[in-house]
Amino acid sequence: MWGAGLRAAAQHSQSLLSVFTHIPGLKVAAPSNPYDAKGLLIASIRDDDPVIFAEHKMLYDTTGEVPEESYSIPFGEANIVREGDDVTIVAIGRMVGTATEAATELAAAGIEAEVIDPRTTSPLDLETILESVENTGRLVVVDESNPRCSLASDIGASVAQEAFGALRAPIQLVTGPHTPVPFADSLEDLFIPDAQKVIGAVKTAVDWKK
Amino acid sequence: MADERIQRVTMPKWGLSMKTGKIIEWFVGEGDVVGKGDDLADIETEKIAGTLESPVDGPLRRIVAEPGVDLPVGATLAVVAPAEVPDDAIEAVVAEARAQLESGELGGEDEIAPSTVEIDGRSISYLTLGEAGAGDPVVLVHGFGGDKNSWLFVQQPLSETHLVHALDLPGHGQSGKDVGDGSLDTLAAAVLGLLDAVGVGRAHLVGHSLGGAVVAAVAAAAPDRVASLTLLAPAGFGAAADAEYLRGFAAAASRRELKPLLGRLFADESQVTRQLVDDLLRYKRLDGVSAALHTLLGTLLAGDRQAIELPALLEKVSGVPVTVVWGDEDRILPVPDGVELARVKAGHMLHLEAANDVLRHIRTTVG
Repeated sequence: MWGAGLRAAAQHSQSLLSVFTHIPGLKVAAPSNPYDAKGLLIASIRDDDPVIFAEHKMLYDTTGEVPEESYSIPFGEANIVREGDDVTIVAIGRMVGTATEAATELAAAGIEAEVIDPRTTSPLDLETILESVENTGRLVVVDESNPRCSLASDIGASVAQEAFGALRAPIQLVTGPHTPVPFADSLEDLFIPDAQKVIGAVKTAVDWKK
Repeated sequence: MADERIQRVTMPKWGLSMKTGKIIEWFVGEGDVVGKGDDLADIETEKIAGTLESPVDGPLRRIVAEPGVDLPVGATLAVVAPAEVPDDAIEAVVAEARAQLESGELGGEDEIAPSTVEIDGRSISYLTLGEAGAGDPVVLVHGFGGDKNSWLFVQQPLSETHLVHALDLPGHGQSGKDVGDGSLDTLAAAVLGLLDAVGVGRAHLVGHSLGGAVVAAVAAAAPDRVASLTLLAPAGFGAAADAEYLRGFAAAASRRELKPLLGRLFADESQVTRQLVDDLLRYKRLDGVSAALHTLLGTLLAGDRQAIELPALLEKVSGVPVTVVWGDEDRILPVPDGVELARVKAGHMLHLEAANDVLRHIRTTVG
């Protein structure tokens, strides 16, 4: 179980996906919806390698259509949640919903965002992210964990290395601040990236002038 | 209040999951006289776009639905009424339609759910629409990798005049994924089993692609159970086939592999929406599907050529009217030579791409 938002103080609100992703030989799955949760859990059980299956605490009440039959989702295959040509937003876990909310609001303002959910952080489907950035020229990574040595900085660095020529604006990282998750409700709410922060980052990227 | 001369054109329901749709473009304007079957507008749903044909005759008095606005199924799109109906009466209907929309009462109707029967130890899922009428019921049989939802543009309109069953063949949709030997006989037994299960003595059979060969096999095995055959781009006429597509579809595990293949199914590749690719991936991830599709490949192909010989099957069928319809831009099973058939402007998925034309051919056959 991971993630902030449950008023559970620092030790019970951490997002340690980056730590696990850092370790070679571990696989890490972080579903953002019920369909992916079932398919990735079955894939995890069937996998012979050790898998960290990261369930976000704030997603337990999410409802969605799930087949009754058994199925598995292969690791390392990102889900394109929403298609768009203006900016690529990569989001993980609970932040997929936040990014989608932002994308809906941005669409009303004429900015079409592509939202990509990697589903597993190890292995990471960098290819889908790169293909999208080749098309949009802009990348925003949304991850609620701390920014240093994080998934956001890892994905950002990989895209800068592999698709520098395609980028039309600096990569934007939307993360929590580099602090433990605060216990005070008001501060915890400020810690977690919300749709408005994502929209701000997208606008910075879209409005960027060289 | 209710003037019977005033007729509403409403948002159609294309497929079980459709809740809303939006007009992309109107082809007619206020004041035009429309006839049944005229193209009125293109409508886009979450899954697919289609053309709405006029269900009524008469002058189009008012267009109620603006393009680009999401509207629930059943929402009034336009009002048709003879010229002698006063404007006031039309306005009253439009106001009533707007109030109905604002009240949010539309789109909340009970969902029609598919049923399941056990046939030869396999669970077979099917959807029934319409009511038993004077004519024989219609059974719709999809193709390789398809399911009952592929009849979304066909089943609902057909159910206005007939009882219409659409099933998932073994290995497909919500049916059991065990296909046994995967032979046409095994698949045909599932269709016959469904006829028994729903108490249908004789039915009009409509089959697409592999499903076309399946319904022909049903007719060959039990001609007295079949009132007519409508074969849409059926497998087994001639040897040519896009074997690369068929094998690729069976093997594809990711969007990147699947999406380029799916384009070959349509004349207009923009028909391949993200939703279509996602739905097929969800199907392909189910346990047993990969094995089922690979077994069925053995029924469809011998090397790179078609293994099914449809003329040999049809020879065994006498006294059953057979209609063959083909999309003239079919890249999966190209239009065969020397077969009497009707052409429509579409690719292999003619019942999606030229649904209204296909529907007309089916109606002509089933009466």
